[in-house]
Amino acid sequence: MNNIFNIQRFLQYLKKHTIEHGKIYLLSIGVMWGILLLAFIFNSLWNTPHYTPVSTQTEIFFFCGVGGGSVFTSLIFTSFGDKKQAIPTLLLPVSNFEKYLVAWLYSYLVFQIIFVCSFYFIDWSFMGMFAPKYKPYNELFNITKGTDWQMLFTVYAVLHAFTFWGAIYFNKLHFIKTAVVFFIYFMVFNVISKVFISSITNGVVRQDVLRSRAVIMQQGDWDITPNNNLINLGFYAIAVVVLLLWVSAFFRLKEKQV
Amino acid sequence: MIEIDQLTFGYGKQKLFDNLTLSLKPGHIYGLLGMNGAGKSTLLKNIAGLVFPWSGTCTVNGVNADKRLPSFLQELFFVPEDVYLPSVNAKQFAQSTGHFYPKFDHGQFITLLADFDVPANWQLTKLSYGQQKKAMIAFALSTNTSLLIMDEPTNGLDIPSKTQFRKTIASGLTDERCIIISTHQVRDLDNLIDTVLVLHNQHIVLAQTLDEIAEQVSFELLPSNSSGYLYAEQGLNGLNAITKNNERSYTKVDIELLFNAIISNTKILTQTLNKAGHE
Repeated sequence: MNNIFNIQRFLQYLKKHTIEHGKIYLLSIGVMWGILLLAFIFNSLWNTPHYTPVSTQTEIFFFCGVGGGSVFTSLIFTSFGDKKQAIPTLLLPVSNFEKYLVAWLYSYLVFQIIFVCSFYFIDWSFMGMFAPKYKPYNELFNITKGTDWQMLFTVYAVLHAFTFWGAIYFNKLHFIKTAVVFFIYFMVFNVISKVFISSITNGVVRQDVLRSRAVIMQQGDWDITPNNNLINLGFYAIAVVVLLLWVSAFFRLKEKQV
Repeated sequence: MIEIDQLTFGYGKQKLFDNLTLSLKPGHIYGLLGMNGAGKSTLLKNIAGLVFPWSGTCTVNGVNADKRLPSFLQELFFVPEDVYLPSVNAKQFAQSTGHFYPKFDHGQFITLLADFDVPANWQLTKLSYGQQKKAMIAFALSTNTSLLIMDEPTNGLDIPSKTQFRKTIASGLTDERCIIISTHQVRDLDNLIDTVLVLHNQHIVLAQTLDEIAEQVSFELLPSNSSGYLYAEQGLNGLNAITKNNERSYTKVDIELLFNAIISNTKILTQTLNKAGHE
């Protein structure tokens, strides 16, 4: 018997997980639709004629996707943290890797597919019903247009990795605790990089870490923006961090005690 | 089957077991007794691989429990004190979970549910606590795993259910199966277990079959002014006493009295019993 991965056992576990969590997942989709609808209604009421500009559609896509995905991911390992559920979950004859993989698939791939489909269905329906039938009012946000989609999915991957790790690391209040840890790390990282750049330039550093940009005030402003190669390097570095957090979550699951 | 060797474990700085060693064989129903907080549930969790030893090992059929490999888990079922069941009915639960256990018997599960008077078509989360527990016990027995661990299984069961529980467990024992039941309600184990394990002061202070115990000591009702017993408790009609069985006359083991005697640190009693066990 393969104790690490067996396709039949994995599919059986995927089915069991889906049967037992199906109702709550359907409810979650309902909540997601509700929030998306509210966002579109409020935004279109704000404008005359009633439509939602592409920039606003992008914002709705980003905040609902990242926010909803983070909350959903933070709850994906609830059964490992809850004392009553942890015993049957940990002792089910399925490998740690298969248990991990089902959680990862649902929180990363399945969520993104369902979210993108839901978003476009609501966006398209809403614009079709209420917005004028000519440009620019009927223009839909294009997920594949421009370079923003890379940023959107990168941010989702980073937040997923953090919340996925927090979901298995903490037993309760996963989302809040993970958010606190995330912001502490973010602040510490920000301060360390500021102090480091100040020490090598003797200047006052104003920086924007999220956009990979630094402004150094030293006898005038020095605006440092990395070239494309360095930006790509940044993406690779982020990918490594994401992978490390995913791997770390696996080992945390493997070592889970109750 | 289960070999616990020099197990040391605790929570935080609180040590619960100190170099605990124990060997359990198939074909037995073990009753694990101990005071509240003695570590009964924790010992069971060590055996199941739910917690990891500080030092020492705990193996089941030669496999380290803490690895939680599927091949190990499919031969183990653990009924916790507080059961959790998903919001599906018993039949759906059997369909979605039974196939993870190669020896799961669907017909046996349906029969046991009927014996326990648990409706098979009701959503499990809508059942009462006692019924949920009975459904879980029925499922556990139907998995036919070689190791069945039950932590306080009779908590929440009414009197007829406790009787049914004893009958069902006794009939579920085979030569290949080892059943461990932990409880602090020792009366519930009457006529069920064949071996008593007493966990006290971080160690297993008694691990004897009822036959071995009855061979060494007698359980008698003595006049109140009697003396020369190993341990006694005042009852309505005299002293419920444990005496040395010098005449080799077998009496029924009073598990509760035996347990009280052991946790009262009656050294002469434990010495008598353990000496017999080593012979």
